[in-house]
Amino acid sequence: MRRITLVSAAVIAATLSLSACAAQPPTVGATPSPAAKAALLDTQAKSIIDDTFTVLAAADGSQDPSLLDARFAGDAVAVRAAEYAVAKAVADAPASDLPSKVQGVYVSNADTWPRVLAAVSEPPADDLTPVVYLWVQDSIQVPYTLRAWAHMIPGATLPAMAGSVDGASQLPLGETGVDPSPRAALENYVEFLRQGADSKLAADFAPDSYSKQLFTARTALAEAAASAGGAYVDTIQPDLANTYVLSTADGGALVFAPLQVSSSFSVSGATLKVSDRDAPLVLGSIVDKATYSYRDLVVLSVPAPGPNSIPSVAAAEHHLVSVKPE
Amino acid sequence: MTLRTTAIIAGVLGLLMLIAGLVANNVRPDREVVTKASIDTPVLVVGPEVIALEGLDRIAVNAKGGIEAHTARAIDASTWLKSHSATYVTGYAGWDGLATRTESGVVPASPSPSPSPSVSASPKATPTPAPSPAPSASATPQPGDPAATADYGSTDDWRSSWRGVNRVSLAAGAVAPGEVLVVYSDDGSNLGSLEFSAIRQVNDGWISPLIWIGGVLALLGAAAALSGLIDARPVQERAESWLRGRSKIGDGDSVRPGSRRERRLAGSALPEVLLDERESTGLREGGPVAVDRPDLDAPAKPTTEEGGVS
Repeated sequence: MRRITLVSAAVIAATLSLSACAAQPPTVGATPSPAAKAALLDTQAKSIIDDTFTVLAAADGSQDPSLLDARFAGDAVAVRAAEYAVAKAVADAPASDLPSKVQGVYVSNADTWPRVLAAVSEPPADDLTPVVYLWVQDSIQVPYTLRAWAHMIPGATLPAMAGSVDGASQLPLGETGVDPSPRAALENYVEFLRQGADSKLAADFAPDSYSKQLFTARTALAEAAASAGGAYVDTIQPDLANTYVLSTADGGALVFAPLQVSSSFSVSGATLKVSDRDAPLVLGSIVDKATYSYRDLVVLSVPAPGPNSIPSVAAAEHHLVSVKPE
Repeated sequence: MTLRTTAIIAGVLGLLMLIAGLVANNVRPDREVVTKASIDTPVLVVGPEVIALEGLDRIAVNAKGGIEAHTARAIDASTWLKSHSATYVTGYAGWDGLATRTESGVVPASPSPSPSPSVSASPKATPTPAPSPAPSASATPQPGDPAATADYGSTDDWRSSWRGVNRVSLAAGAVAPGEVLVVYSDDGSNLGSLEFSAIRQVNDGWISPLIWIGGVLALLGAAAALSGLIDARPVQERAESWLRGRSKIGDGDSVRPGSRRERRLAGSALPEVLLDERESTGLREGGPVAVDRPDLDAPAKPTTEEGGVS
């Protein structure tokens, strides 16, 4: 009896002593879903924008476009390099003022690349409209780079976009959720620009100052060329490979479309003379023909399907980058 | 089994409980535990499901040189990791170690030159300067060199970042839910070790009651055992005398004459019986004696044999 009692007590004591007092390590459960679905948080977007304008300030200081490489690419480098060339040669033609303060940032929620970041600046001056910027990241290994910018059309408004928590969806050009599709809207607008103010397609778009100025210049230059026995031809091509579409909050689309515009001016039996402002951009020797190359950005707003809703141009800018004798 | 035996058995059990409680208290694990794992790759990945482990407090990485820790969306991190060899932490292997796996990233090959779709025919050939051999004396930085810096590409997609030299420590709560933590060495050398600091649940609520109850039972048993070894009779006698003294009320002088107490103290209350000696009746000694004196006490009540009521 006594032995049984002692053995039982010893077993109890050993069990209590040797039993693990600490709970087992926790096991991995379900993966928590992220709070922010956008590709960039506000802090990330701000860092990219700030870094871009830091790079721009350094390049502007020395008017050296090679310093733009860290945060600029594509048409933006060509446009700024042309502005530096003009600014160096012409006293009263400084590079355009690109305000660094932004009042709105549009981020993508894409899982793939390329990805888009857009921003709208504060108005650089009382008589100037805000500037729309477009950044693109081609892959995760490379940084976002500024690809293009354009001043907003006077009186135009940008549609509401998804915030930085959810981010805006990047839509394909052939997106069928909007009517017309981004591709159709862009191609129709380009065709409208080609055909001129009398085009039947003019009714498909809200009036905008960009096309109006293009047509006005075309008319004047065509008349001037004709009077000199020459011709004036505008060639407009959309850069579909570098066109990006973001969905808007109301189900529409915002199309960032770079355009390549070539304006060829020729005369017969005479010699062309380019203006002092354009002279620094001349590549070669101009005789009787000059082709002005532009890298434009057009931001088309395609509204959500609804009655009396037609696409409109929210921002657009005509950037001369070179003049060639051909 | 007497009460003393029961108390002694309880005391033995209490002693064992006390010993067990003290031993358990001595080997009680700390609430704060640091679990380590060695990392043999330049990149470490801690997934959101691991960061969300209950009780995980801090994550620290040790290495020689600069260390950077970043968080990213899961899709961004997985894309970035395709070109980097990394150690993935998958959870606890126990409180003494972490479960990990290593994956070798495939470094993408340099893009090969592609033919340009636009061919321009130039009427005159452009002389190309002949290549001149130019010996290069620049040394290629090796991983581990203080000045060496590995190319990890853009940092635009990192959401939060921490940097340190030789060690980076961050609170697990600082990583937003659903984000992946990526840690790498600045120079591309292997990281050293990973530490998970956690606050764990320790089931030690039973130790203190065990010690106290065991101690009380042990004392009780000890008292019972000692009571069998000590002769308490003299003490008991003195205690009884003391009790008797305490129960005595007043002294004899206070007895009221004629009271029942006086009579009780005076002795028996039986009446004194005086018997005359008689001559022998011839009966043998010890037999019945006839009594005819009228002053003898008679029963107050008739007996049943006399027709009384029983």
